[in-house]
Amino acid sequence: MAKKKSRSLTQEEIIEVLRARAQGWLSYPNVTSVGVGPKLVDGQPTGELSIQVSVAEKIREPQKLAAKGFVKLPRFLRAPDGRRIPVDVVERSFRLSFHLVPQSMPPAWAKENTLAPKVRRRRRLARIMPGVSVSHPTVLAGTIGAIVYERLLGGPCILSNAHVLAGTGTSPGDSIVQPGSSDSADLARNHSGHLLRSHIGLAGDGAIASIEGRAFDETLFELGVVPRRLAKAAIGDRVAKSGRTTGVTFGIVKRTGLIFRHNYGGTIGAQDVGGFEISIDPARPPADGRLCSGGDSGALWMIVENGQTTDIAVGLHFAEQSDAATGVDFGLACNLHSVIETLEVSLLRPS
Amino acid sequence: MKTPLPCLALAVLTLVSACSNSGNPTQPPPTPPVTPPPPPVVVAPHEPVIEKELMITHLSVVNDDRTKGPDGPWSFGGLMKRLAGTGDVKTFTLNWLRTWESTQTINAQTVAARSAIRPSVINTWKTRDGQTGATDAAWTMNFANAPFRLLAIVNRVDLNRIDDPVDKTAGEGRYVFGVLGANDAPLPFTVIFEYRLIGTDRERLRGWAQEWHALGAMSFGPQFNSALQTITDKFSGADGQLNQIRTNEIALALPWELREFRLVGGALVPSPTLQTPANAFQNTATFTKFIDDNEGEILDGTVRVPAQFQNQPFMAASSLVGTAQDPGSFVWQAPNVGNKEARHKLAVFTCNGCHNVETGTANFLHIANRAPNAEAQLSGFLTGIEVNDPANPPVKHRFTDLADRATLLKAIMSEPGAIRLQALTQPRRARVH
Repeated sequence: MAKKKSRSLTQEEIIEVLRARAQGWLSYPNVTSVGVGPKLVDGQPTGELSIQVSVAEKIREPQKLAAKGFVKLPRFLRAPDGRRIPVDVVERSFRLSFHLVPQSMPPAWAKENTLAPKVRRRRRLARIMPGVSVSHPTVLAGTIGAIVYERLLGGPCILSNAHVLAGTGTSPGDSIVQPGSSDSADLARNHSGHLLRSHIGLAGDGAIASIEGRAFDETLFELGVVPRRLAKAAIGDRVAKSGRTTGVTFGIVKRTGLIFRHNYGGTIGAQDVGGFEISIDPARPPADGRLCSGGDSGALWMIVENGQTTDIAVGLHFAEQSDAATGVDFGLACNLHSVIETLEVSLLRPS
Repeated sequence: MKTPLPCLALAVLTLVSACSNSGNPTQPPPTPPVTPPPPPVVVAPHEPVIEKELMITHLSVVNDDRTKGPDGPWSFGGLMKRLAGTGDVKTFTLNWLRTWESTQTINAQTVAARSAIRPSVINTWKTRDGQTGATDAAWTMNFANAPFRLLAIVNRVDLNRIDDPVDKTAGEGRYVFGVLGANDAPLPFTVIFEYRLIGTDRERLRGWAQEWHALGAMSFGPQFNSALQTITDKFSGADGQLNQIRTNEIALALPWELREFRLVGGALVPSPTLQTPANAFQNTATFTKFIDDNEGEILDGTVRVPAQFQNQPFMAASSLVGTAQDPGSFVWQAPNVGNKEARHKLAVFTCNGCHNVETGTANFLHIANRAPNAEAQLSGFLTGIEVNDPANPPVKHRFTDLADRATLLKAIMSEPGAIRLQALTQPRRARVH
């Protein structure tokens, strides 16, 4: 009776053996990978599968192996049924290398990218970003100033003014809508999170809200920078902001260390708010002459150096004031470092 | 140097009362005693009172003698006489009424005649004058019998364009009249005289606001009316400047039609209805494109509907609420519009949108015509109403227009140099209603 030829091991069977007995070889010095591959003789496949081990340096002499602290690998392993699986050692070094491949953007994001900036700032966005419309449902519209992170829990939040996200007579937990209620009355669909906390006082006029059901991008719309660093504004600083209504405008810090008194009405009443004042940068005047306007509240003022907007944030825009004598309008900003501190958030993304 | 900024200002107003010269001509006048000027009337701080400062419909005002006679300062005749200037007021008025009798061409569009103006208004007036059957030429028009009843005097400082780089105004002051038919019956026909509140800077705007606001501290009665006339004389007196007259009626033909007239060359000339596209663009790609092209401006309330768009006459010659065959309702539709909120907001800016389904105004009038001893009824749009978006049903819009105007009035009165928070305020500049 003729002897029955044994069946070849399948790739899956070899992988099982590899995981059970050869994966540990990766801890050996010189071993860079283990896997299943064709058994090679003189560089040519034999038609047989093997456990293939790549090493950085292939050394045959046992003395040299020992001298380098390398471990000699077996010539074969046995499957549970006793059949032999050849072990093939190949010399191969790894070099991290990659080729960037294009990714498909989610369709909603791609569509948003095609919108004119003025439109995009007022639309409901699948991916929210600083510079676009937001509000408490009882407020018409303000601007998302930045994506910030709660210090304690690390969660991402939107930062804007308290009078935008909280208004008066509201409370933490209230729904926040993006865009603001003036830009879309579909409040249920536009829910973008909940009011977490707010503050109006010397430290500023600021509030944060959670981000729910939306992706986000930290980049300031049309300014193209991600705010990461904080600074105190100084007289003469050139600054830029990206606001819902007047878009990107450029200014110069004129006065600092100011305390503004304003009656917020309702249960808040008159409050003193600390901050600084900005006038139009005559070198980069806005096209329509407006440094800021209603709907820009909450925008971040960023330091501009050598004509470029930096990642250094100094202020949270909250109001406008006209010089009683000249009628010239000034933008008013809270000190961002105070707002950030008081709301216990950070511009830095948690590692 | 900036003014320190206290919280919202308390208006301190001086109401200057007129002095009469009662000197006796038969005796030398005595040496007038040196008297100190009257103390300023201090108006206690108060919240805006809508029915006294913004929408005055109280019978003690609208039935006051000033609304009657041939030339009362708040009467139809008085206003027409001042508008006619040195011209003949009968001719001026009759020519205006006759515009309904013939087809009009406005902004390259045709407006059909509504010949019922003759039996419904002109002949009614002749009858009230005791001259039934008189020819127009033979008719001695008596403005004391004019079939127009005052419904309201309205403060529209909320329509100010003080930040407009080209055409700055402090808003409008308005008189709303109801047209009367046979036996004094109120017709579904109202006429609004809309005067400019002249002012090109925030200080003048604030002045207007404070004057209206001072009325809120007074009781209705003769003193109130005197104070009100002090204000109205400033916008509709000899130096008054009419922006336009608007009419809204279904008394002459179907459907409801809103027309607009401007004072040109001493005559009231039919003009396009501002901010309203022609109905020919209803549910068209052109209408959608206009919205998409102007989405930001519409949302911010800064859009201006142009006379021409895409090389076509775009602004309506008159604003029709539907058609004669289907006069019940009208909703501006914009197929595949990019932003449904922008469609809604633009619709509210238009005449036939604002006076119909879009604002839940079932009777097409925000200020309804009235019987002699009844106050005019106001629409829900003015007093507060929630309305389903007719083109986006899950969405509801809340209208509280008078309350919004009160908020704006208060904001306008803030101290010069006061801080203005920059959350968006009511985007109203595109409105005409």
